[in-house]
Amino acid sequence: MGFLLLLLEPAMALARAGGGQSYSGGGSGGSGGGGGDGGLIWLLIRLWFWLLFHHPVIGVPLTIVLIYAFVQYQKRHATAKGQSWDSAPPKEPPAPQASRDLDGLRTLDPEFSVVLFEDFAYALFARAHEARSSERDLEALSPYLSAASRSHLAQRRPVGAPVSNVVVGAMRVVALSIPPATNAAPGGPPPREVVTLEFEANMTVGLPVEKPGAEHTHYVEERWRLERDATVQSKPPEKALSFQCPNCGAPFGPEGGDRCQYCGQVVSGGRFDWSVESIDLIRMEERPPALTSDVQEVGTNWPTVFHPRLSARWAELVREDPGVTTEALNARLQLIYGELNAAWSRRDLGGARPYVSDGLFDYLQYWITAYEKQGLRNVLEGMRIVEWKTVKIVRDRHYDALTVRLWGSGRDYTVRQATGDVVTGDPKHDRFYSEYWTLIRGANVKGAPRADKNCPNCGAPLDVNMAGQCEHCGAKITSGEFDWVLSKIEQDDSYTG
Amino acid sequence: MAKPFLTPESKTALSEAVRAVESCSSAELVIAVRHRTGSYLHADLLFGILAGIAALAFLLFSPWLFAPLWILIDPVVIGVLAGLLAAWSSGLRRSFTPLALRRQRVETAARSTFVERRVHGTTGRTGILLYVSVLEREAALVVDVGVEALAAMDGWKGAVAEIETAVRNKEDGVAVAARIRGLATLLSSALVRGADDINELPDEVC
Repeated sequence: MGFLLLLLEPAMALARAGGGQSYSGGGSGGSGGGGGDGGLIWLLIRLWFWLLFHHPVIGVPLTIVLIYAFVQYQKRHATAKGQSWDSAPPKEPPAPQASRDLDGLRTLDPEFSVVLFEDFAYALFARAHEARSSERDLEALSPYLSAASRSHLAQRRPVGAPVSNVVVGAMRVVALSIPPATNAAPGGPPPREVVTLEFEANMTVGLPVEKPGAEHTHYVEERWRLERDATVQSKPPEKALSFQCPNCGAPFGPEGGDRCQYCGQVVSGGRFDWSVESIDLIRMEERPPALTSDVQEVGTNWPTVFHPRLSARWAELVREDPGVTTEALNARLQLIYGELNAAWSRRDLGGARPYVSDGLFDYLQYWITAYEKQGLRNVLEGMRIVEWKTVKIVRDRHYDALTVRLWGSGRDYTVRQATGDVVTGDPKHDRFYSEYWTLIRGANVKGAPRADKNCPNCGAPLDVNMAGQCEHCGAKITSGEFDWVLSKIEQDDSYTG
Repeated sequence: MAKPFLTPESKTALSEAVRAVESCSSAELVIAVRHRTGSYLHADLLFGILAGIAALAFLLFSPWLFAPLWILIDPVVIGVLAGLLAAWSSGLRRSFTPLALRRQRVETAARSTFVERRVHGTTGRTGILLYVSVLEREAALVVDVGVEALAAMDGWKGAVAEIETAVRNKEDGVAVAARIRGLATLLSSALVRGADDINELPDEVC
């Protein structure tokens, strides 16, 4: 009891300070309240000091206990802060990231064209793999493949096996580095432009010549780093895919090593064109991509990604070519959409060939092959465009590229070819989705987009071979030289604008 | 004075709106209406405490003299009465709850109701739940994966915004039902109703 009184003594004293049995309002009267010059915290501090100095037998152990408790609390707090209590949050739209828009390369190279670069990368990938079984063929690509890249490809297993039918399923720009200026330090090497690409592809790989046997299809994922001097200017379209000497344009053979026998220049290392400086194999399987799982679409509800300069570029495009109207584009888009889906369902891309670029044709063929290999058929029925809107326009000296976000709907399911059993999807309900489609057209082409099925060059009914040439006039109509053709399809969760 | 949101007349109108939407598309629309979402004890307590403090300040600083007993009792009594008043008044509860918190509660409850009412269980994954909470004057739409792509379309966003604005503006159920019919146009083009389409979820307001 005495101990309790000791503890309460200061509190009792404070409770009494100011005293009085009644309180009066107004003026300074309020400050007469007992707790006015203290408060609970001050009271506790005073109590603690009083115990510490007047009754150290109680105060000192109490202080030790308090300090111990405080330290423990701090430790627990620090541990808790380091923990993450979130499980797997839903996937959010990607945050703005460092630009991977190849269009930025045009600041240093006005001749640069994203469309041409992509064609170049697709073609180089195919050529490099097809050449990997022959040292001589690889050497012939030395202006475009560094010694390390050639060595990597030559050692790819099975070593020496011939490669054919390389089909690029997808190519993504995963990193891009553009130097701020082309001015090199005196005596130093020029600044470099670096593009890192990821490829998904399949290819037919035979066994080495000395061990002939069955062929295998390899599905690969690779990362390629391409570099070139920032002073390099892109070649015109007709020379972009020649893979000749990048300096003089003469045929390049393996005899002279990295030096062109015609112009005498060392042409490797990105001095005159893009050169692959490294190759990383991310994945290689003989198993085709899984097609029987019902993959939920991600990002269809994400906000549309608009290019910041869309309005200005649309105005510029329409001013230069009044034939480009929303209505005309809509008709063209409807035609391409319809033909593409019909051809896809038939697993025969012939009908869609006039409307898709070479790269996209490869991409589509890649997936059709994957379905065929597994005895499956992806069926699309009643497909229709619900809505679309233009989101990006890129214009360079050679091509105009127009990207739209397209919302489509229809029955989308996959059946086993042999039995007709549905293995994924729903044949009774529409699948509603959205995608980003990029259409390209030659920069010099003018006029309303066509919505008929005639050759844009000769006017004959469309009959196009797999190389994209009209069977009547021989004109290549799938490179955008005559009208808008579809060159890229990107999903919502991979489109970054 | 605004009309009550949910009357027999508005219930009928809302059910008819559901049928109108479902008659032209394979979407399955469910409408849930709640008087309020979650507990508002915090608002009642906050209002009660503020009233109690105000009463104490009055007792301390007013020119009149009060006995200590009343200084002890009066703030408590006034605080309790004020708390009861807040519990009775939707306006007070709304005022003492930040808009963002009200919105968040309604969205969370909408998702919860979406699962509870098995709106996610339709065969085509085309379920849509419209959740209306009257006290908060908030509406929230939750859609299943088969309808997700609508969320990014301007037309859909506009139609949803119209419904939300109508609820905020204290429009009654009949007026909101008319706006719900506006969803039908978009849904009919995105999700065509099949010949064998069956009604999988109740059309009545739940």
